Amino acid sequence: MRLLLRRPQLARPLTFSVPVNARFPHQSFTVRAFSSGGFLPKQEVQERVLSVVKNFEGVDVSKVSETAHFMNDLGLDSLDTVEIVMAFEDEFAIEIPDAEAEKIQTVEQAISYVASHPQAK
Amino acid sequence: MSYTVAHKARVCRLYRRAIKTLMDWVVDREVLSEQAIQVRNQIERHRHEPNIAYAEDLLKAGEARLKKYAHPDPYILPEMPGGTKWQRNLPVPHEIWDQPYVKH
Repeated sequence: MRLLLRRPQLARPLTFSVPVNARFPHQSFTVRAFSSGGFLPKQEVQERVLSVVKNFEGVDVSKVSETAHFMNDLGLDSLDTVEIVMAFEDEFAIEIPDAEAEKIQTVEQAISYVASHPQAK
Repeated sequence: MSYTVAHKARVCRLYRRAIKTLMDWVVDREVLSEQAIQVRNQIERHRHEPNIAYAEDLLKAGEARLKKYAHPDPYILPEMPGGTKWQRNLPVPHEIWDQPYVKH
């Protein structure tokens, strides 16, 4: 079981720094946004999705791209696809409904699903 | 002779639900991975099953087994529907967090 043997590492630390505000320019500080919801930036989603795919066992890193199809381009089978979607759920701490999970067959679809999920972290 | 798309989708759904059910029961990640490998092997064993009727029986048996092992209180991620933090953590109002910084 590839995904469970090695958890994908968080590509992003759990805290993030807020850009120095003009109001208190001498301060730079970190904030954990417990309450603020909202969507992850697409760029970040893309990087983390790609890193999950690259870390998945049996995937040729050189073939991974934003448009790659899990089965046609990366040589995974349908059960591997199920595993990789669960790896995305792990990485972004979301629960993808079964019907939606079955539709995720490419890297691009995974990115657009996660980027449009308000609870993705 | 080949399996229908619907059959393959059912197998995938069974595999996904089986792993999810395992996650409900098994807390330890290492134990979970061992168990999950066993689940995958059980499915892989019949990957090239020539007898379609037998494969159908196996699938039905698998689905029945999944039903039997369903967790009474499945794990739900805190911020997902049904989770402990679902709709509990409202954003802090703008008037509160946007006050000028006062050093004490």
